[in-house]
Amino acid sequence: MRPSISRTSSSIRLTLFALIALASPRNLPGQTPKGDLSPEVRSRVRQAIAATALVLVRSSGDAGESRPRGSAVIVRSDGIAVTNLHVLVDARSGKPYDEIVLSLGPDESNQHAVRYKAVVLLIDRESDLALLRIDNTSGEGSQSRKLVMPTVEMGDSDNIKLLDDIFIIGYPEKGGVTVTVNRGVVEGKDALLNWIKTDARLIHGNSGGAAVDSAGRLIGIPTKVVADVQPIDRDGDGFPDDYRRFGAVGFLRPSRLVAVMLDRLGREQDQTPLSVPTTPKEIESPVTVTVRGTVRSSVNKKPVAGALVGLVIAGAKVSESTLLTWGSTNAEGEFVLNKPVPPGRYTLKAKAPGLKVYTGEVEIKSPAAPLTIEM
Amino acid sequence: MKTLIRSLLIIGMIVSASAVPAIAQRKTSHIKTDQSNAELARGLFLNKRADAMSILILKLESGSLVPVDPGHEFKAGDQIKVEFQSNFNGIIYVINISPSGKRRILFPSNNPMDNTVQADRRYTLPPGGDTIEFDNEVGTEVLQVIMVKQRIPAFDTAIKDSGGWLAETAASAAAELQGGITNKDVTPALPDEDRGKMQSRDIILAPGKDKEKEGSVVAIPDKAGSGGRLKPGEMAPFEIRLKHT
Repeated sequence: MRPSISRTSSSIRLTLFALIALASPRNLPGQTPKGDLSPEVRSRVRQAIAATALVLVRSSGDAGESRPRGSAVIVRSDGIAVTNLHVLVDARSGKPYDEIVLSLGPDESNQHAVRYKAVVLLIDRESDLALLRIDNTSGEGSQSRKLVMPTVEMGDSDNIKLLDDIFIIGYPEKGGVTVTVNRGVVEGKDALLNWIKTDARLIHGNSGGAAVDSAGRLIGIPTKVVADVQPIDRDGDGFPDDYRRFGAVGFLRPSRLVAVMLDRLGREQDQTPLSVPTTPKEIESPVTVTVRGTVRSSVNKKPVAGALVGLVIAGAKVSESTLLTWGSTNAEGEFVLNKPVPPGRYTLKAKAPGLKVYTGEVEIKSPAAPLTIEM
Repeated sequence: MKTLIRSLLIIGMIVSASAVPAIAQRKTSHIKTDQSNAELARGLFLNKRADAMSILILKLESGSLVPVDPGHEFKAGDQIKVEFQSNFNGIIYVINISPSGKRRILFPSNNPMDNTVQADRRYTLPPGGDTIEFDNEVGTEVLQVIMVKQRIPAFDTAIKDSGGWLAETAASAAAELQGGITNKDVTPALPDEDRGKMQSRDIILAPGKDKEKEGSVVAIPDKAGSGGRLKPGEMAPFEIRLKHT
């Protein structure tokens, strides 16, 4: 018999999964961790602020001007920006907005914000990300020229560690239409499901913005909040009269996923000149890939049967919580790991009776090339 | 009454052998399947100057179990038993590796979980009247036989908790990858020969032949002071590859 986890009815908790667009503030003022920041850190984070834009949207049937919907961050100087897909889609109709405008404020007052039209180039529905192309053409006809856009430096989301400082840059609705920055730490990493968890404040409007490290490098895209809400039955009639909020965790999509999308975009641009598409291309999600390969003898290259192969979080020791996926080799030494994993760096382990344990670092890409292990 | 073990898909047959010598042994990895080593393996098995085992594949034909050649190609519905005998007191695990790489411990079972073997005693797998039957899945099925002098906790846990299926959960896979019995300073030599023939990893062996009642013999070489004896913390695995066409 295997142990099972049970929950008593008295401790039923409703865990609400909500997109930031639907979430309410979860940290009271003053909860954001404070501390001294060096002038250098402040400067680097401020550079990232310049590349973070307010996303305004409008459907063709809407009256009036476009309205604030979320945030985006420019990742390439030719005007490629990333945001959440849900920022660009009308939640009621499920249809994408007809007009997308990015507003960049030259300063924190946003008084002289410049607006650019944008179109969607590439979407990854599973990871809720989209790449936009900003129309950064200035002037008309022969006088037209492309403006160089401010960008955020791409960071290595695989290398962040728990309790690393993290800065959220965006345009939360409660903060008005000016850029807003707050600070937190990395609370957790879910390598398999592609999330970085943070205690930094994420609220309506932060979606699609920037999460940067203390060097101002992009390490994540604020995407959703998971709030813990418990029903309160005041009169004992069995029906909740109120709900008490115990807290929430902010979830970021790792910047590694953005890098995968940019790589895909770059390869397509190599083949054909990039033009504004009538409909965005939807890529197969780069979120996870199936890892397969072969185990062979280091002596005579013959296949090793019955070897157990596993991927562990990079640099971690093997344990139930760090082992992400595993599988065994057949008579031909071939293996297919049992759970797809996101592209990234991992520690590769292999063990076969009578052979030394193999340990190595491996970079899994999308699409994943077959691995060859010699042990 | 005969019980068919349908979960084991057996295919063609190769007896391969692999063993791991002592920790202090220097790295040697030559395959030894020549005539002199075959004679040596059989000699060591008989005179007990080294730990050794004999393995015989028996096929059910017309109600009788008859020895078959390692190169035999099996068909769906064929039934076999594996017979083995050690010349030492120790512990044996037998693991089935399916064509897709899934592994299940066939011996011992959980009821009773007794896989200690005594010298000079002949054991059959599966015990009693059970047989291993080939189903319709084609490919190469491996029976991995592991000789040890102490129990392997990860295997025992799998027998108790998951019907012998190995690495069924993250916890069991992690436990297996973490360690248990390991072998140091060993460079294994994998088979030089194609499937259907005897293979070895740093072990001396004598391939079995059709109708040869002694079957194949594997023996641990007496090198670098190992004495040809398994020590606690060491294991000697070898494989029986069965080809199903």
